[in-house]
Amino acid sequence: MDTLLCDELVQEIFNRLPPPSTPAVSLVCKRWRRLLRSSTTSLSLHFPPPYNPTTITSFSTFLTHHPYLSSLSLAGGAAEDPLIAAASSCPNLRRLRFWGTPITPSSLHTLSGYCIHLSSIAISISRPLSFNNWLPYFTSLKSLSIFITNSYTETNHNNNSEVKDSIFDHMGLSLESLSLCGILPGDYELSFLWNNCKKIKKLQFKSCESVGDYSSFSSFLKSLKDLQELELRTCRSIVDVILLKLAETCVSMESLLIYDGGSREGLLQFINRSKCRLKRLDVRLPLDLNNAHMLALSENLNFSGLACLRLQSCCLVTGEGLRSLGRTIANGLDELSLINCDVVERESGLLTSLGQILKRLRKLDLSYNHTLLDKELVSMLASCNNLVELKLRGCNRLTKTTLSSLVRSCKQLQFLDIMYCSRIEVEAVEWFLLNSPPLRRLEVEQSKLSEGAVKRASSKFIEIVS
Amino acid sequence: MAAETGTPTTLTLKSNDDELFSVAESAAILSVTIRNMVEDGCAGGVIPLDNVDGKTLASVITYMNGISAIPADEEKKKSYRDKFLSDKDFETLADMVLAANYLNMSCLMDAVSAKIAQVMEKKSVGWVRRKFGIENDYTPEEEAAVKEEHKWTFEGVETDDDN
Repeated sequence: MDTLLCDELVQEIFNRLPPPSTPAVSLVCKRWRRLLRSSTTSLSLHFPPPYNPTTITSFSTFLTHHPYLSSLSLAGGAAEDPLIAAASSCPNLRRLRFWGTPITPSSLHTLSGYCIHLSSIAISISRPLSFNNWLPYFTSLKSLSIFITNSYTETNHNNNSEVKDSIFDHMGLSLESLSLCGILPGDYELSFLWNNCKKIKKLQFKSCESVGDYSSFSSFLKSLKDLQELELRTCRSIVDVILLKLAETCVSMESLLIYDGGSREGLLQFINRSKCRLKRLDVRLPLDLNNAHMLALSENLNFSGLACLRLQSCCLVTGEGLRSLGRTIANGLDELSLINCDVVERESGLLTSLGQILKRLRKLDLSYNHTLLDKELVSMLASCNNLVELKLRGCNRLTKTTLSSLVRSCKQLQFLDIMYCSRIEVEAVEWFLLNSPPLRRLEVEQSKLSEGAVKRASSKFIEIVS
Repeated sequence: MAAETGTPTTLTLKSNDDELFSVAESAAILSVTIRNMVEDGCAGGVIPLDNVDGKTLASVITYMNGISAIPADEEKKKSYRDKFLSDKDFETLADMVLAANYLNMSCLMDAVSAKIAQVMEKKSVGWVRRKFGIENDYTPEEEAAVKEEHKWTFEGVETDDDN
């Protein structure tokens, strides 16, 4: 039969194998190995030491047998050799991630010569930082993700003032997405990025204590006409600078995420003054976000088009703030998350009134509100007739009562997560599966699935995620 | 095409072992191969399908009728396909992938390939060789080298930037 199936048919089948079992196919026979290699476009590899001419050659040879490889993720490299070997063997790479030792500028320069089509790179680099001797050579690059690893050495500090002007300092890179992790005060070399990236749409900072050179950074923010998305994770000391600058100049931003480290005052000023028409706001700020922010959000009309509001562990927010914001954004709000926000458990009746205000809600996430009670949720669900997706993960107090109200009120519900809801038992899960017609996916522990539940799920093509 | 007359047109298909099947034209034209014949006006008499045997053709026609009875709802169609393939053994699936390819029916082709992949996923290399009738053409040294390459394929989940 093997000879009956032509190459294209065998490859059709290979393309549908889940990634972990794909490599085994090449053990079947030489023809299959050839077919697999020529249909592979993406590989995640781990190339451990020892690195010597023999191992590196066989690694390169392996890669050259994949002529259509466009995405490569390489892990565990304790040296640059595997990366350079990989790059020289894969001229068609579009996307490269290298998790390992920091890459030197000269290796990056070499890399840019081998892989001229790279559009996305994720790498570590070390201090002293430099960009002008490699970044401009990646002419197709749209997305850059940099992890700055080592700590300072004395010599770096002394060189701070000597950022030399080179012909590349004002050349305009075409980067659209920039992600930076681990910036420290004194990383002035970043001004190369600030001076040359004018087209950024998505900007991410992670565990950054600084932005390097503040004056070039603020002109950078000012010049960003297309910024759509900003993410700040664990960046307490730079949140203020960024938000205040954006409040003054930015009108294009649609999505803002701030996790673990904000500033009460900075955030409030941003909310009061911003001219961005935010569509999505996602915050995890246990100590910094309070009621004043909620009220301010509801007063700035630029935010009235908010479609997605996600609050995680925001324990200072009260019902007054949420109701007031809810009334302003009721017409557009599609998705609401109040994850581990104790106001949900603390204020009886809050969910009911949110349900009445937010009639258009399609996605709701109330996960990890451990003491949320049936009666609170049920009276909210009575008004949420358009819900398509509901997550109740880890809500320990909820029982079968919640499930029966879902069947009654939410006739469009397709996705439900009741993982770790310890009081929802086997029999309740089976009953729900039997009575909820349009359900497409249910997340629940394997141990809560009776034989009847499994049978029903498979006959109705309901996907079970455990 | 005679579709405007009101009575549904029926086509007669002939398998390579000379079985005859009647099928509504509206269902049969899911096959691009048959649709082309209809459009070219050469579907009048019996349509011979030289690469499909009677048993497989019967299955394919069941599928054609079933799927064309479902209105334009991709979810329901997918459900039907999953159910249709759920009780087919490996040999039948292999015949169907060939038939779907010959008849140029992309939706059946996709579904059957996915089903074969799903069956293969959990099986040993030896099982796959037996089922596909493949002889192992590796020398022990070559086989060892392929296994060596597998050490590089990284099975960890790619770390995403979220959280």
